[in-house]
Amino acid sequence: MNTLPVSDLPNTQPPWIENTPSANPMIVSSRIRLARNIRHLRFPHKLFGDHKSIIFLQVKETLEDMPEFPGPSLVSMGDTSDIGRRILFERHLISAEMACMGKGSGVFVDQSGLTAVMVNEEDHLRIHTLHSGLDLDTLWARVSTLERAIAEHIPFAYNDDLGYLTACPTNVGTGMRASVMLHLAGLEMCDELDAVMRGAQELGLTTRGAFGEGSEPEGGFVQISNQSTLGEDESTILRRLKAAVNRLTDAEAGIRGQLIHDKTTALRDAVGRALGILRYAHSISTEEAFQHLGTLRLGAHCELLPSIEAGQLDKLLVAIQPGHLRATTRNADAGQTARDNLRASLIRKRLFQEP
Amino acid sequence: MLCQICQKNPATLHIEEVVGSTKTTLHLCSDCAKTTQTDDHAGDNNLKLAALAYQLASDKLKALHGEAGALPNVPHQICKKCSTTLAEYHNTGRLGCPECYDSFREHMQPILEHMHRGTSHSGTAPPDAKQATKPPAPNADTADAATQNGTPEHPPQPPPEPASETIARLRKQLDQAVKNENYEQAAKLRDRLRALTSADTPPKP
Repeated sequence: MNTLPVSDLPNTQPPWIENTPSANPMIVSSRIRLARNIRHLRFPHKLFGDHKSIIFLQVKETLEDMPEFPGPSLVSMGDTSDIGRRILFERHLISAEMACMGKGSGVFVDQSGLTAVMVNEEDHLRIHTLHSGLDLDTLWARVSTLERAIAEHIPFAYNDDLGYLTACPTNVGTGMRASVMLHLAGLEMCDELDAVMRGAQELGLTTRGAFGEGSEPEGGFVQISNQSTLGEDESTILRRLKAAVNRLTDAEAGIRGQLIHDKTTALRDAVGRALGILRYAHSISTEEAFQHLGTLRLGAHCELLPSIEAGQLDKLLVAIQPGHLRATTRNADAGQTARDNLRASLIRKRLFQEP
Repeated sequence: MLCQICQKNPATLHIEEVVGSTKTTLHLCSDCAKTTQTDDHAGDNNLKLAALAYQLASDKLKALHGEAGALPNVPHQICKKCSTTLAEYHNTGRLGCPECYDSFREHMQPILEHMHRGTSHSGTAPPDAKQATKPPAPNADTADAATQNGTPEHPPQPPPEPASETIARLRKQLDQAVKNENYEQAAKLRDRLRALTSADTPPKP
């Protein structure tokens, strides 16, 4: 099995970015992951590097020549640079936790770049797949087919009462976490996003900003996922998540409709300011760039920015993140200040065709 | 509600600590509140309300006590399989091995009730589980091979090959070695298996 050429990834667009104009502008991407552990073995945080390496090899042998996981390649964390880890994280192929792991941990990615198996993160296996837009049924079919194929070779820790047994009891049962990245910039602009997120939490869903746990919903980007994994089957969990997503996007669509209809000064002002800052800034942080690009994304959908497409902005949202930025500008050692300068320059080039 | 320490008497003392948005509660019976700490923590015998409240209020103290396996509301229990203690779980949020769920069953029950919408699994099961697999897919038409599962121990085997018996035997030994956490043996068996299986497979272009 070949090693994934991580440093080449930033030259290509992440496959989960949708470029078609018909895409729902309020739903960026969806993801489902299944946490699985090998029967009778200690969980990864209780294993040493050599023991983890054996599990990694076992998974490698299982995934090789598996029709459900075509064209696999691998990344071993022990052999991956800091910048490589960042790139994988920014493309949603590994978690933040995996980015901190060493020898014996790693990820397998299929040829589509949409489906991956993390080995020795919090659990022995984290099988996950993602897609642009909201297509949880397709994701479930894909991830459960792969999981089932792996289960033919690797016995998973499971009991009839508690289901799949995981290192952290927050994942026990189905081991499934389904999440949807939403763009709710209209709700954010009208100061209703906090209330809406609290409502989702009361429905038993977890909400986070675009940068994961503890992050703010910069630019109106919000991740919503199921909190509970035990007591309900997968289809019920997915149905509830879909219902919540529909309610949130309905609320956002209502606000956007109003904004488009009224062409309010508030919207034009926000979009104009975002445009001005991105056009003339010479140093900008990832968070601030997300904030303004999110506003432009809303402006593009509300027909205020005919020359800018949402797909173009989505690509930029990945390109400006630290790992991709350092790779594409060939500044592997760029510190925070240098990155902020490079980021501002990249945005001016991509959005305003500055040489 | 039962006392969180003895799990026998009704809890009559309820202490609640709120730090920011995090609420910690402790429910004790009067006996445990007056005199006892669990099992072998003789140093904590004089569990007084003031001391208890102080312990709850101080994260630093809680961390110290946790390392010693003596959080006031955590019984001293060890998983027989992996030696993880309940205190370790409370410090890290992680159990040590799948068997920890059995070892700490009583303690985990209320925690799971709090975390999840139910306490028993109703989703899909692995192919070799005893119970029949429930239909897993939200859309029955796109249901994967899981629904075809008829609980055989293994998927249908291809016709016997010359080395198949050896491979099967080695696989069994490998499973056993992994089960016993005998990793050196497992690595050797894996290498032998790999040599055998690659000899049977035509080389890749």
